[in-house]
Amino acid sequence: MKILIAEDDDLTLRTLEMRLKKDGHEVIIARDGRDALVRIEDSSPDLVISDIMMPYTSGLEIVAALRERVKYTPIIILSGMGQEDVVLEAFQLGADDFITKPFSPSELSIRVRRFAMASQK
Amino acid sequence: MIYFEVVALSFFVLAVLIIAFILVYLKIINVQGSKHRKWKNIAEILVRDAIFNEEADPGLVHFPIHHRTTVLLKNKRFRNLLTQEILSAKKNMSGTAALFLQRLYLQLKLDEFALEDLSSKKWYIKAKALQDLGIMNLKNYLSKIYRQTNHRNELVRMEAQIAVIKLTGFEGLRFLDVVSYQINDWQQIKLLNELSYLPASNFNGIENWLLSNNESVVIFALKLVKNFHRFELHEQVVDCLACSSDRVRYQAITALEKIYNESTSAILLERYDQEVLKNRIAIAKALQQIGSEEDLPVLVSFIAQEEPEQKRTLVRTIANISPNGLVQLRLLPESNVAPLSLIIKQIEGELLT
Repeated sequence: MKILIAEDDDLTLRTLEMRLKKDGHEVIIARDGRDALVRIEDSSPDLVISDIMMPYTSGLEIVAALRERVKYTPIIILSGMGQEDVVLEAFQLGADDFITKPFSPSELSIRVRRFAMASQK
Repeated sequence: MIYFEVVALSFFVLAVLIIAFILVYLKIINVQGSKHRKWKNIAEILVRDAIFNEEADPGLVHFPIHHRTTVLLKNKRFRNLLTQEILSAKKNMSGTAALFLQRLYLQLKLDEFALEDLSSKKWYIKAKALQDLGIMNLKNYLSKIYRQTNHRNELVRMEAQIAVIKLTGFEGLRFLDVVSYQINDWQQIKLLNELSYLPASNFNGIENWLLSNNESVVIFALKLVKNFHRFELHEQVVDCLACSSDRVRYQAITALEKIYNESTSAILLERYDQEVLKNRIAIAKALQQIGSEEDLPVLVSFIAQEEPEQKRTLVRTIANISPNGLVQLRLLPESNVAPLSLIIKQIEGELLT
């Protein structure tokens, strides 16, 4: 599965990248929202994992941009604690799942596997 | 001529010195930058190894630490950088990954350095150490952290109070029994925010904090009553309405709005006349939510004595309680005279939209 991770925190980004590569996925990384949008256009990922708070373009804008595309790409939102309103907005825009920081990489891995299985059906 | 040569030579020497200084300075910056990148890389590898050790038993795991890293740990700057990396990862990770990060922190004995910093005379070093121990969830040091919750320095106090809540949840609020300094508004927001992440719990102590001699503790206790809907404390909150502090009474009014019973609106209306403007507005707003038709005659009787701003709040309350409220208002002789006539029109407009 080709997964794009958009996250401005370097350590979290690399941790996710390593974990998902270890699970056998192809991973594309973006360090801000603007870069993420470019990479979505260029590489057409099967799944997007995006932080909400990012420089230039927020996770919400990425959700909105993804839903305007013809190809349906699932998106998992990474949110901080206390961002329930933003998560709700993300769902209204069309996000498929969310995970709250602090999160367990194993939990994320399981959620990604669920999307991978759904895409194989 | 000689004078000119001396000036030119001095200028040349000065230029050479400046260039040499810039080159040396750039070299130092470059070396430091390169060293920082190497250190960051070492720290990141350690953190990543810890996070990805997820399959092992957290109690038994021992991370292989390179000799070079052990030597580097004696360097305070490297230690700070490594600590920062571990803390930053710990804030974003939960579950086994978080446990392993805590394990790595302890194995590197970074907790011992934090404890040293806790004894520092510089407040910012002390505050940072408290923050680190709280984030790393090191319950062993609770008593040491707890002692700082009433520190004379505000920021040390703040970090200690947050840390005890991180470590023990609602239990950590027992610092309110002894804190003698004021808990400022910002700190109260931070504490409530920290508590909001915890699973709901019927914690004890609020009734004692409502009787505290420290005004800020009473205010904070009232906010706890409000946020955690502690209906059983209605009577004690009502007692706070007799307090001499306007701020305490204001919080009591807003708390009663959240834990009201059949007697609350009558109690608030009884207080109305004796209150300062801010608290009168708070009572009127509370009654918008909890008032009933029975309260209308008293509310209508207050209209005549109020300033235009408060008149508007009262009219809004009366209109919100019941459509009959506006009918009663219209019976007042001054309802045809500005500003009341205009206010009634505005509120009617609001109700239509």
